[in-house]
Amino acid sequence: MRQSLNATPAPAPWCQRIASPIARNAIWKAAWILDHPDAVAGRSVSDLPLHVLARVYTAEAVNEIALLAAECFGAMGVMRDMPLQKYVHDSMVFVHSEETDGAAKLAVAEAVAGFRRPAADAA
Amino acid sequence: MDFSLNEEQRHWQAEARKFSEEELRPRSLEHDQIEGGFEPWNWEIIEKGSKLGFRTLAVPKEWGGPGVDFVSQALVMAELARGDSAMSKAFSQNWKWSHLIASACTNDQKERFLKPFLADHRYVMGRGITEPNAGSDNRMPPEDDPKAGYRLRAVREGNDWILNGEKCFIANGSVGSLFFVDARTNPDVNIRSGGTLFMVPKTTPGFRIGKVFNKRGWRFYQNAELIFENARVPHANVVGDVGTGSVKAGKGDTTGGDIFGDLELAANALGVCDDACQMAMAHASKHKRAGRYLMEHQLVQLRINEMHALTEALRSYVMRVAWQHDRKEHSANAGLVMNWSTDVIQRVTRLNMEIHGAEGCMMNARVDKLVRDAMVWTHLAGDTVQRVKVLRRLGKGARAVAGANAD
Repeated sequence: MRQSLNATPAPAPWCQRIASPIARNAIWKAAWILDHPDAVAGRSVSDLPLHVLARVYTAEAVNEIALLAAECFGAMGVMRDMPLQKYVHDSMVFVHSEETDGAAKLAVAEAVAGFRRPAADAA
Repeated sequence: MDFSLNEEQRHWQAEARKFSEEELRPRSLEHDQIEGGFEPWNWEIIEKGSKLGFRTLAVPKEWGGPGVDFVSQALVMAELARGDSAMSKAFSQNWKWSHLIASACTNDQKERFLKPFLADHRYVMGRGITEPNAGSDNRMPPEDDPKAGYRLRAVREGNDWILNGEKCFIANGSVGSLFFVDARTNPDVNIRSGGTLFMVPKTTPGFRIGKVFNKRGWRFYQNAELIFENARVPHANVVGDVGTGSVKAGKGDTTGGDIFGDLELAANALGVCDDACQMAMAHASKHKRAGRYLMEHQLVQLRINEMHALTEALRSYVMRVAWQHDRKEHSANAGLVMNWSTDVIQRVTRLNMEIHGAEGCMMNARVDKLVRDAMVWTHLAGDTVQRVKVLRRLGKGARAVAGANAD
C-alpha cells in the first residue's frame, strides 16, 4: 500500500464508488427489459430506449472513473509501464462507439419528445 | 482595461508562431510516435529554438538574456504549445530556474551556472523535488510532521555535502546539465526548517541518471530518476541558507519558481486548446454526415461553441495572470487558472475528439495526441492537492507565498 501523510486527496474514490454501481444497475435493467418486452407493454417500466441511456451513462462513467483512478496514482497514472493510462485511453473508445455520446443523447431526447426523424436525416 | 500588446510582446509572439509552425508542428507527430522514454527527444529542435532565444527567454537583460515580461512569456508558451505542447514545456522548463538563479543565487553562483547556461544551446535545467514516496507530501506537507516530504539526505562533510537518495519523474532529468535538488539536512524537524536547496551539475561525482520514464502524453518531454550515491556537492552550491526549506531559499522568488509554474501550465494548455479548436473547425467544414457538412449540424455547432468559449475564457484568464505578475501582484489567480486549465484542456480536447467521431480515436493521430497530452495536467495542475493548496492563497490574500511545486 502506498501511503501519503497528506489526508486531502479523498474525493476520487468516493465518486468512483457512486458512479460504478449506478452504471451497473442501468445495464442490468436495460438487459432485463430487453428480455421482458411485456413489462414495457404493461407499463411496469419506461418505454424509453434504456439500452441507449445505459450505454451513454456507462461510457461517461467509465471515462470519469478511469481518469479519477489515474489521478490517485499521481505521475504513475500516465506512465506506460502502469495500466492506468491504458484504461483512460481505452475508455474513450466507448464514447465514440456505435454513435457519439451527443448523437445518442439526441436520440433519447427525440424518443422523450416522440419525434420521428425524417428518413434522409437518420443516417 | 487595455488588452493591446506592445511592440516587444508582438515581436516575441510572431517569432514563436513562426518557429512553432515551421519547426515544431511538422515534427510533432513524428516525435510523439517514437517508442521509448528518451528516444522522442531531439537536440536539434532545442538548439534551433535556443538560437532564437526560446531557451533563455527569462534570463534578465543585465545577465545577457532576453529578459522578457510575463505577458510575452505566456504568449510564447501558448504559441509553441500550439505546435507541440511537450516541446513548448521543454523550453519553458528552463525559464523557472533562470528566474531562480537570477533572483536567489550569489554572484559567484551566477558566474558558474548562469553564464554557461547562456552560452551552451544544449544546457537545460530541472528541479528535483518528487521522490518515489513523496510527491503530494512535498506540495502540501503536514505543517509539523518531520516524516512528511522528501527524504533525500544531505550530510555536511567539511566544505562539501554528501547526498544520498533518489528523485523521480524529474523534468529534463535525462538531458539536464544542472538540477536544483531539495535535500533533507535535518530529518528531525519539519520539511520547512529541515530542507535545503542544492545546485547539482550533472558531472557531480556520485550522481547519475536512472530510469527514463515512458509516458502516454508529452512524449517529447523528458522525465527521469536522479540517483545520488554519496554524491559530493560543494557548500558553495547551496541556494540561500541551510535549513530554510526550498521556498525560502529563493529569497522572495515569487516571480519565478512556483507561481511561474502555475502560469506556465495554463499558458501551455491554451496553446493546445487553440490547436484543438482549429482542428475541429477544419474537420467540421470539410466532412459531411447525413448529407450535410458537420458544421451544419446543431449538435456539432454546440460543441464548437463550447470549445471556443472555454478557450477564449482561458486566454483571458492566462493573460490577466501574466499581466498581474508583471505588476508584481501575486494573487490566488495563478493557482486557480492552473487548476482550471486542467478542466478546460481536457474538455476541449475531448470535444475535438467527439467532433472527429470514431476517426478521432482510431485514425487521426493528432486528435489522439492532444487528448493524451491533456492527461498530464491531471496530476500536475488539477489534482486535489493542487486545488486545495490554492485555498491557502485565497485565505492569505495578497500576502500569500506559494509552496513548493513538484513538476
